[in-house]
Amino acid sequence: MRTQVFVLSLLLLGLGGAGAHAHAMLSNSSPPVGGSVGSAPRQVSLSFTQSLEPSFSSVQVTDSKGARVDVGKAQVSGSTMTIGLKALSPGTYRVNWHVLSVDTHKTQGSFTFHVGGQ
Amino acid sequence: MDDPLIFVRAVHFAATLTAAGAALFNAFIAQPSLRPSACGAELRTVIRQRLAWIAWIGLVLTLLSGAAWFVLVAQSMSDEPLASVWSDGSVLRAVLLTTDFGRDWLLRLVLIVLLAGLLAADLQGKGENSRLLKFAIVLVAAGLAGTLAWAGHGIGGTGLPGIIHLAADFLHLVAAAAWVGGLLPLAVTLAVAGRASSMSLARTASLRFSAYGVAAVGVLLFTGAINTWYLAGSFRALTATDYGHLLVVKIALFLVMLALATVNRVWLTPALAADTDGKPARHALRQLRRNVVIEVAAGAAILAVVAVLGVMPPGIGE
Repeated sequence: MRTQVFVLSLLLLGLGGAGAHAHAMLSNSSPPVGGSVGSAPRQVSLSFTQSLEPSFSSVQVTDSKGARVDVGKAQVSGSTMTIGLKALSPGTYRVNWHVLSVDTHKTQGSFTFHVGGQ
Repeated sequence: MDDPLIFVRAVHFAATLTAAGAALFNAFIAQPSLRPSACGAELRTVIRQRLAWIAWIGLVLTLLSGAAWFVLVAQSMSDEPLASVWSDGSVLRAVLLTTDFGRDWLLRLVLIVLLAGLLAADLQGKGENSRLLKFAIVLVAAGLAGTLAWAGHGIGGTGLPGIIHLAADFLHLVAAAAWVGGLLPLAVTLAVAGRASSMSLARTASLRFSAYGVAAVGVLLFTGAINTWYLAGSFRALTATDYGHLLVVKIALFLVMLALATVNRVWLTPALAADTDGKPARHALRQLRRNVVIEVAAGAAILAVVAVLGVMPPGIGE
């Protein structure tokens, strides 16, 4: 039985598999990190590498003067966090996120996106 | 924050595996070996008492260290200092009721209380336990060990790989409780048997533990390989990251235990079983007891390493 178990372990090592990161890192966002969008988005949506704890995860969006432009409370579902936005005029905006992964580790990050023409 | 947490984690792992391990050992090894036909009443009483002590002390330490671990993690989740988290209570409540970690800890509290109740009922029954009670004890003890998975790196992954990793972690912990957690009860059983010169009890317990140990080690190897893949991901991570180095230390300690267990199974237990009550059997028993004690020490060292590993970022992220 031990030989079979050993061989199976080797086989399983050969299988690929998404590694679990210990912290929730940002894997995707809309608007994209550092990106430009033509029309003002109604919300910012962030996807992470791990599932989040809603009670301890938050996000703020500010304009170039530092004023808050997000509305309501961040909505967390699994590994995605979404927050609504006021009507945005063209310009650069900063997203500051603080999240708690279900594995109890906190992470935070920040990025900008640009709205309008150029 | 990390050093107190590492200490508390180590104590909690040791306590959980000791309590669960003693309960599992009692169900699979002790009670079958101590049947009235095979063993005198006095010997049975002494061993049952010693095993009960191990389980109860383990449960109390599990409860206390679990509570300390919970408070430390709750504090790290919030942004408040420890004193205000302790006095305020709202953070503790939020963590306990709304986070995965908190809910798992609530479940584990229920399991601790349940196991305590079942063990008490088993003690009252004075050995003529029902199959249902034994089944319940095994299930709750395994659950108490396995649910530690929610406090480790096995959690948080998404999709099928996430489920596989968590399941592997759960089984890894149950197997660890059975094998590593069963070594102290085994040492105690063999010590009592040796002092009472009851070689037949020593033989029976060793033979039963051999088969039991092989199954547990098999599960540990298999699930350990899965976990290593998910958390280190490559040989480079094992050699180039701090996490990898510690993981290698853990594996090395495990191999030491495995080597001793192999000696026990291949040479010493058969020597014990083959001879009746002569000198070779006594010699084998002495060596067996010594090896088991060394294994307990190596097992404790592994738990200390795991306590540190759990607060480090896994190698795969670097």
